[in-house]
Amino acid sequence: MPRTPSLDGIPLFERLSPDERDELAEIMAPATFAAGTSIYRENGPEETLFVITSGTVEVHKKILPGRRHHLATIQAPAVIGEMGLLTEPRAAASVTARTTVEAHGIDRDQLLEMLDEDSLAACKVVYEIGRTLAERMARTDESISSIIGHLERRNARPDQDPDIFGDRLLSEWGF
Amino acid sequence: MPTNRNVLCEDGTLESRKRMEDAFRGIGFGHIIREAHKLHRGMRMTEEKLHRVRFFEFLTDEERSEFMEGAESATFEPGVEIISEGEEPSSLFVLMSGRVEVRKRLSGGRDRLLAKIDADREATVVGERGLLGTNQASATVRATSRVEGIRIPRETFRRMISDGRPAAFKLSYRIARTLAMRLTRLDEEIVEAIRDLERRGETDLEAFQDRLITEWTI
Repeated sequence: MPRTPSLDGIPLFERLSPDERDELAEIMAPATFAAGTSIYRENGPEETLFVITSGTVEVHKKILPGRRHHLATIQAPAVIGEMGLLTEPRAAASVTARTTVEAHGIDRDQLLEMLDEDSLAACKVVYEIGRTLAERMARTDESISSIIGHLERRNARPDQDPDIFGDRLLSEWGF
Repeated sequence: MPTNRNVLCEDGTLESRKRMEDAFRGIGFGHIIREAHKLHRGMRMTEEKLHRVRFFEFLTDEERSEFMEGAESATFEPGVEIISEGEEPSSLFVLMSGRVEVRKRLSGGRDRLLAKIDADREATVVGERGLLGTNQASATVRATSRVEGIRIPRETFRRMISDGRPAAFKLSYRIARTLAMRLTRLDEEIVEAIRDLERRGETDLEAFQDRLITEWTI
């Protein structure tokens, strides 16, 4: 029987009482990925959220035709698949194990069911995810702002239209 | 033995202590009761208003009341900043009526209009990111007409989280979903923007790519 990796030290579960951890453990299953194994495929299903307890993963996305862009290297402890939990279960990027990866898999539908039933354990997990997203949104906003500023400053070329570029990116601003 | 009607006061005069106490009690209680009624009426109105806001419809009546204990009515005159760019994250505002605009400072002292919000058409929530995050506000929300709403202070929300109150965790679930949906659309727009930049023959494409997608999560 596979060993269940410990939840200790994982920020996502810090606020959970022992009972709440037990409640969540019922919908968790240990998962191990050998180095080189695909965890999510871009545009493929994202039905499971993984809490990575050891190992490293690589994130890639096809942005320009014929090229895979490296987006990130993520080391344990980390959570992947949280966007699929909160939006639609479709992976926006590919994730591959770089080393052997040990994780807890949490079934999306079961977690959503717990949230629908107002499970405090599930809500606490999502609170931590929300905090991560809030920080990420702030940093993304700042990056976009500085790039738009840069493009506008040097916009001496009449064929460029940074306004449209900016408007589109800024339409989803979170303040 | 002195009766209630005839006691010696400190200044040496006989006075009806009970009558005095009754009088004071009457004034005190009357005042408190009037205030409590006003407060209760205000809270009921606020609760009823919150009930109409789609953002809060997932809360039970009791949970809405919990938020109302720490919430306050807020009115902003035209021109007043409700959220100020660069300031510490503060509160969540439910705008019930009036109009606001959202502006972002750009380099060179310019700013850009990001959105105009008409709360008369539909109540709107602003500042939700500030409840969960620790970063400064990244845009300014300013009233362009008289705006009435409800303020849920960040401290109230944080205290409810520390106390393990389900209402606060349920609200954070709602906020997390909103943020996730915005981020997903933002990610899609970023990819489109990078493709646009390449079509335009942008020379700094690599640098922009790296800046734009550093915060990617899945």
